[in-house]
Amino acid sequence: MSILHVVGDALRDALGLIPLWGVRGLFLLLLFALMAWVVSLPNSETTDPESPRDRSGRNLKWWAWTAILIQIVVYSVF
Amino acid sequence: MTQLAVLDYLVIAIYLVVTIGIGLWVGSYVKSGQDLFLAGRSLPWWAVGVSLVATDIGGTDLIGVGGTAYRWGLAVANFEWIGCIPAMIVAAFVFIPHFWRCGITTIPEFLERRFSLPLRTAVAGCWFVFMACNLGVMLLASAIFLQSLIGVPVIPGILATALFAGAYTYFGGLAAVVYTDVLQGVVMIGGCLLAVAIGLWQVGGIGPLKERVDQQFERQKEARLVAMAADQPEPAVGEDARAASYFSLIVPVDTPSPFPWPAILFGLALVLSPGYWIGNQAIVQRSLGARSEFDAKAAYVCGALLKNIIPIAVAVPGLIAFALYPGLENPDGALPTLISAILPSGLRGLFVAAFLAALMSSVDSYLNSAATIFTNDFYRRFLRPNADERQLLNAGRFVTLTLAIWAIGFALFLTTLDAAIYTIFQTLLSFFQGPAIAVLLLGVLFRRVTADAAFVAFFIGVATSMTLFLLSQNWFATAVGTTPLFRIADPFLYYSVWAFLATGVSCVFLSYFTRTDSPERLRYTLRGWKQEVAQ
Repeated sequence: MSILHVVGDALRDALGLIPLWGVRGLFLLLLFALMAWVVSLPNSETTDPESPRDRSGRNLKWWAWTAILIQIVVYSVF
Repeated sequence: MTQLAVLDYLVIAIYLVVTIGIGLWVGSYVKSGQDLFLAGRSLPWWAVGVSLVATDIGGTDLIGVGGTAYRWGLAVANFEWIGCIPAMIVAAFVFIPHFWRCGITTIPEFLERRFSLPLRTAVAGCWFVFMACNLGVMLLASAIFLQSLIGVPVIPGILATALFAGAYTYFGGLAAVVYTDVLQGVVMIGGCLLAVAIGLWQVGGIGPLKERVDQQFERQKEARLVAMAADQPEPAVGEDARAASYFSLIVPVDTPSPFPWPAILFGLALVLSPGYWIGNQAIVQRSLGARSEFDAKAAYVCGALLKNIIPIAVAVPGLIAFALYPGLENPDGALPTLISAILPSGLRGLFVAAFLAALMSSVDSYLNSAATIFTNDFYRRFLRPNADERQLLNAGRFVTLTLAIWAIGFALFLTTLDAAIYTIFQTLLSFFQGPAIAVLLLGVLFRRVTADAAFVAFFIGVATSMTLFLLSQNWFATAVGTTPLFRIADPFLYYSVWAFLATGVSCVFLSYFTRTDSPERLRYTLRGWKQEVAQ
């Protein structure tokens, strides 16, 4: 057993102590944090400067938000 | 093997003719090096978005993901979901627009502007060697699958794939690759979803599928535990692993599968996936060819949305096969078995066309990107710094042709070697992808990170992953009287995490002992760029 084996086993044991519901929470936390960041992006960075202002369908943040929302549903269910 | 009728061959022939037609038509507009490598920066977001997804799913992935789902369950879908979507979203709004604004052709080119020529050359060399070798591996692996799918012998399979994908990539460059990818993406996703719909109908719907899969899984687990109990008194897997379902995306640490959650979260989602979507030339190049910064961003968001349905198209067929045909000796045979059994004539041809689409969309991308790296990072950088657009076009086409011939030769050479060669080349990517993405991210985000530190840290990271690879080999562990370091099969994801961390930590540490980069280089950090725009 090398020092790397000892460290690896300790890490594996420590990670194994986290219950799967906690892990699921961690996955969802990552996705929620990403969703919050996307929503906080200024419109100037998520819209086409050459597109008319009233076309909200051209605002990328809502499409990105939808992609993440689907992921949140998926990781909540499976 | 899937039996094909005349109608199936007709469908395949139509697909191939339309693909070549699109490629050659687009090729007639290619007049310069920039047209060949970046499609003259004219690509719309929807084409790039579909192309990103089509390139990501190779022919071997199509069969392999189904096979892996058959063997281990839905956890393989992590590679398409958490292993893609978060990184694509971050790339869309932070990194891709920055690269697009910088006007680069390759990622190594950015590394020279931000850091130094030695780092550019080292990273370009790694990517070029990997891509060139991987082309041969892809051709061979796909030809083998093609043989098992429809009985085409391996060598004609290699030659035909290289000829078709090579022809339109040679003439049309990136634009041909992207526009044929759109057709290929539609055929691939459509063909697979059709197989899923028919398969679900045969099983009786989603509820009965889950029921049948759970029943088969329980039977399999019992058989496995009985077999293990006979060998050893303590079961090798814990309670969590035994309780996990075939439909679980989150799999415990002590799973025997290659997808324990720490590898998925830390290795895949946080390292390999950003490395792939932000730092892989074959992927990023098409967004650099987008017609505007907005199109480059929108392409990645479009790709992220599409990625949500990919596991349904490629992994669910494996689960349907598990429900209908449990106990197959070779899990990779799950999809061909399912296709042969459930699809009628004509639709079988459509599925084979989907397989060819997946195969060609990856081969053409790697061919074009390897040629782009060689022409821009070696030929133009060292041999002909003043080459005009016409010379770059000729050089790019020459390299494309040479690479196609090399890939055929290398694939034929691989047929004489042991099958383990595939694993070796997959491992190659994990050697340098973690270090490459670490220096790239640090370079974009932080001004204090220096060129000298990044260069040394890159090699520290490569050395780390190679050492870990060595320590997890059975023969090495036996030779030094210890056990392999990692307990899961194919621990590529773990190599990447540790190599990424080693590179990141050493880069930050060494930066404090080396001189700060010049303002000209700091312009290429995100902050430097924003300050310049504000002025």
